[in-house]
Amino acid sequence: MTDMEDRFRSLDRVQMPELWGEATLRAVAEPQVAPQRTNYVLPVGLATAAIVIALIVGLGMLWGPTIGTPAPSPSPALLARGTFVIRDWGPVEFEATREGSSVTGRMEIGMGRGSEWPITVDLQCTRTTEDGLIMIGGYTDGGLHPDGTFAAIALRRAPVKAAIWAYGSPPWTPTTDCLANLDGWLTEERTNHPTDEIWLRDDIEGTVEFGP
Amino acid sequence: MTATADDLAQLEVVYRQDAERLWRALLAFSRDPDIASDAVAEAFARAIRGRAAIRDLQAWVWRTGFRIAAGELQQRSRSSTQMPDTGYLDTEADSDLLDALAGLPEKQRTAVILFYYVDLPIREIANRTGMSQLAVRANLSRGRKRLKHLLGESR
Repeated sequence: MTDMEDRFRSLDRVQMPELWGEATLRAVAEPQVAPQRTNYVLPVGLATAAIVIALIVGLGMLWGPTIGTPAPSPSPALLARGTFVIRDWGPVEFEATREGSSVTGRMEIGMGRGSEWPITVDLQCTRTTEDGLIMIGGYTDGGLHPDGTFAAIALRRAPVKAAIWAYGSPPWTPTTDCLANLDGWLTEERTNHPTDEIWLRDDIEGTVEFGP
Repeated sequence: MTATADDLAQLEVVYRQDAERLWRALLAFSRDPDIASDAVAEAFARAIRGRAAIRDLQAWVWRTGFRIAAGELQQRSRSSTQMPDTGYLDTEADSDLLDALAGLPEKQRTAVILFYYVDLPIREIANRTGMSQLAVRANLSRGRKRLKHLLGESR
């Protein structure tokens, strides 16, 4: 048993009052029914979305596609790759290459105790902060969550530290903009924690190789 | 009430098996025995009323209990009601732990309590909270780190 589990066991000393009688009494009492409200949010939202799409399509038709010779693209360079075990998540395996500003790569994240299926992530974007933190993000496309959930990894060199992030919770909700999601994650962590060491503290067991 | 005598007997079995752990988990979640008691009684009352439509009784009661407690906490914060005097809890439970848990966001707090206190695997936490397994894993990971920081632990 861990220290944390020991601390939680102190709850066992608090006695619960008998509540079964109260529950059965409440069950026979008239349930309170909240008044129904007409929901105008969805129709207004759909109408707004339709107007925005129409504007985008219309402007696109006005200007038309830009035709030109594509600039020669640089060959893909390794961004980072690794195989390691990280606390809470389990085994992680990933490789990402960078070509210009775009990223290609895959990540597979084990889900640890109680979950036998890993999740797979299509890596699509990266952000390197001024202080050297490398963040790589993408969307789940297989395993337990083939549903396009945003997932990302943050890495620091020497000593190697890592954190995995997936799934959004308020106040920040992931969007389809991969870079904006990376920025959202970073902002949330750095707003809530005085130093990166609090959220980026997982010592990993395994190896990570960084590109140039 | 739509529950038959058999339904009621079945519900009482779940109550005897789970209510105490659920109540303590809700106490850790809300730091308020009144909210924990209200949420447990109300969750079972609703289960009795709607028994016929509930497939997984145990998971349903836990999910409903946490939703009721979360709603009461939100209502309290909106109406800026004073926290009740729960000084006696400090002599029985780990008050530093309860204070630190109160500093976690709701979903992280739920995941951490169900993992460390109720000792549930990720799949079952997802089943009892309505979160996806990925969300449970993410909230647990972040909640654990934040809890350790709030408790002043290095790892």
